[in-house]
Amino acid sequence: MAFDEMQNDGQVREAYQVLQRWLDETHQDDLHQKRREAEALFRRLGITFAVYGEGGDVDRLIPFDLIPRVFSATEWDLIDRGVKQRARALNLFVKDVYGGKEIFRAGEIPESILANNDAYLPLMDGVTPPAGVFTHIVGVDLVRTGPEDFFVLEDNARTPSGVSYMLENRETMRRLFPDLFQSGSVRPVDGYPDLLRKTLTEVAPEGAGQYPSIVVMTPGHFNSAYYEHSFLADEMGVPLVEGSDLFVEDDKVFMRTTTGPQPVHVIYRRIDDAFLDPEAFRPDSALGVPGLMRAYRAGGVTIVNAPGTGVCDDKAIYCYMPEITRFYLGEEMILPNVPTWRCSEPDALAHVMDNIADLVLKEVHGSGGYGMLIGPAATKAEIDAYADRVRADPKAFIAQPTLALSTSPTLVEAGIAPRHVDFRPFALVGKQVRLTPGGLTRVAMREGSLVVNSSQGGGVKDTWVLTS
Amino acid sequence: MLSRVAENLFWIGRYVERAENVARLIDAVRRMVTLPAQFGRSTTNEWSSALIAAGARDQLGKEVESAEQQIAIQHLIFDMDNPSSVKNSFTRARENARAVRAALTQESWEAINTAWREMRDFTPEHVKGAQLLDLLDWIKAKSAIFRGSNYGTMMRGDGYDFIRMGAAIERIDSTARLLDVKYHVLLPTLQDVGSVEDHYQWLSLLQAASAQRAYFFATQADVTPKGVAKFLILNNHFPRSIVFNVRLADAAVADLESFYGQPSLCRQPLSDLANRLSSLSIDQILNAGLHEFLTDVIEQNAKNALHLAEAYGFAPIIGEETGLGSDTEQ
Repeated sequence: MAFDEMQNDGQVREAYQVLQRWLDETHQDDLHQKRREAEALFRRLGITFAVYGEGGDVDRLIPFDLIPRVFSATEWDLIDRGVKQRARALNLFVKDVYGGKEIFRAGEIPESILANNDAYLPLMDGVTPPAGVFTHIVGVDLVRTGPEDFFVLEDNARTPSGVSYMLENRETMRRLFPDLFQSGSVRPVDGYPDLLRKTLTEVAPEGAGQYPSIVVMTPGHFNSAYYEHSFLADEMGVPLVEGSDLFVEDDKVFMRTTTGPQPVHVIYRRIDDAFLDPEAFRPDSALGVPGLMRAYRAGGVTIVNAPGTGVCDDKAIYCYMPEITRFYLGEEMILPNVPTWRCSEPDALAHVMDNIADLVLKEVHGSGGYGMLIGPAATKAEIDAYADRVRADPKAFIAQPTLALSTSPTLVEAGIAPRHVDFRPFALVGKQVRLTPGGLTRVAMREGSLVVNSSQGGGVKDTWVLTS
Repeated sequence: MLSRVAENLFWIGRYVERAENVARLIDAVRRMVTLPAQFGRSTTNEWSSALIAAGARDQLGKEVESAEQQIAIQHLIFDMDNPSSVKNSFTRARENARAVRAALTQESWEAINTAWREMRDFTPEHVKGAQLLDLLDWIKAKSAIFRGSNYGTMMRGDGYDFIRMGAAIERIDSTARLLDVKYHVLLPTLQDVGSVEDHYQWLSLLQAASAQRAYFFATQADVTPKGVAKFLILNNHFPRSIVFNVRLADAAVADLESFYGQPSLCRQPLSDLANRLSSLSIDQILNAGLHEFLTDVIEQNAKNALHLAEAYGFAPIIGEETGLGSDTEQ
């Protein structure tokens, strides 16, 4: 039996008392009605993600569950410290990778790990961005297995998405259930856009002045996360640009406006490294800005997150996070990793092969819940096929125990039932590290499912952090 | 403002206006085909004329000559291969709006998003008999909601002016085309001045432009071809007349000039067109040929749109597929 966020052995946990009263007083038909209202609202506002090429409606909704996930102040304190520590360690590691490479020379991590990593950009060697920050927006995926047992499942240090749902989910809950917030015990999340703007301002290049020109860069409105790009630009009151809106001259970046070229100092890009600059990376990409990397390396513009940060968030590096945290911060990890076997190591591989039916296997460079094997949920044939792939290229895989992810009460057709959840808070790293009290709780809507990714039918919940 | 955003806003203004104007064009024909023969039912095919006026000849080819209501409705309202169909206009307006979401107010965005979503519920099978009128009213209402949302909620700045500019340019084009339908329906009509047929046909035209009462109010005169043409081309106060919208476009650019504090390259040609139209009498227009005059206006208007594009740095249109292929959000 998995740990439930709300109640175990018939005892409702302290932080959920308010919700318990609300659920007791509310008829389930009303909840279903409200859920439909929420969906209609999302459609009307256009809070959707676009899926092209699969047929059907291109405009999809992420299922929104009305029952919030709640953290007490004590729980949040742990998460806050743990996530900030993680964000610092990740940044120091990337800085070192593109700087002195001390951690490799100290023998803490084999340097060969870089050779196998597509996200490592030799072009970035010797680059130190303003304030020494590489990954400014970090999404840390957490799971929980017991009252005190939080684990980091994954770091997202390139272009983590989902923060718009943190904000919109709260907005929707406040709209549908204003009474729930009357007591004033839920900490607000709407400071995020302001903090983001502050962070981006802090990392502007030298000479940008007190009010640097900030833009959000999107691959375009056909991108699945376009809504979020547009939302964040709107919330911060900065232009949302596409590659074609920008150009580089004398190692400075400009945008094309109705009154001629205007300077750009900070680019919060939501586009992959490979598409940033056709001169530096993929020459066939029409999405990027020719010369952007040149301007970046010359210090004319700040790219957020920095190119090449992906070097710190794949699963091969993940399992070295205890060493990384110790090496740079001299600290033990506040939020531990999930125990992980590197299949590249013969002993680990042997253990994984012997226990594959009980484990979760992941591709080292995979993301988004694709390319996984969940042993206990897989058929014999699926396991055998996956095992063949692992034997053929062990270093491309890691394995983890199947965790009993915590569950959270969720409104489903049959009523309110426990569903597995994870949690992604968003750390902002500028001259200081900031964390908004909240984040994105993702929920696997299918009974028993452990896969929470929206691309795989996962839903989202509002996440409350209580004041006490 | 980013040039791309300005361009998108301009086109949103055009697309929404275009949807409305196609609805008005269909309404004019709908009225004409319900007239008994002795009250102006022409011997030519009105649906075919409407399609020709809407520029469908390229796409439908020979079929355009014999097109009946069902084909015309399909083409003008639903056909996604027709770049000017109502469905396409709402779809493109919505795509453009989504691409510049932050440049629109919540209300204006919702007006477009709702039109697009609801449009998907209509199919040609739903639009039989009296339902056609319901659909036309619905289209006009959506356009009105968008216009009203802009009017009531948008900052009076460059964004507002670009939308206004797009709407004015589009309306000039469509009023010219609406008048031209008449030309196609009853060629050569001007010799038949005063006949009963003529009277009702021109009345249909006024009704489609929501201009019937305005016409009587402003002219205190009977419906005559010359009177209607004069009203729809030269009236300074009727919001769908050609001259009114040329002035509107001119005023929008004047506002842009003052907003940006710098003169615009596209102002002069607009002012020239406005002045030229004001100096013309309806007799001069009719004597030189209504069709030729309208064709000339449509061409000048298109050129003015190009001048605007040049003045504010609109980019050449880039294929939609550029947005794909980088979808690696974490």
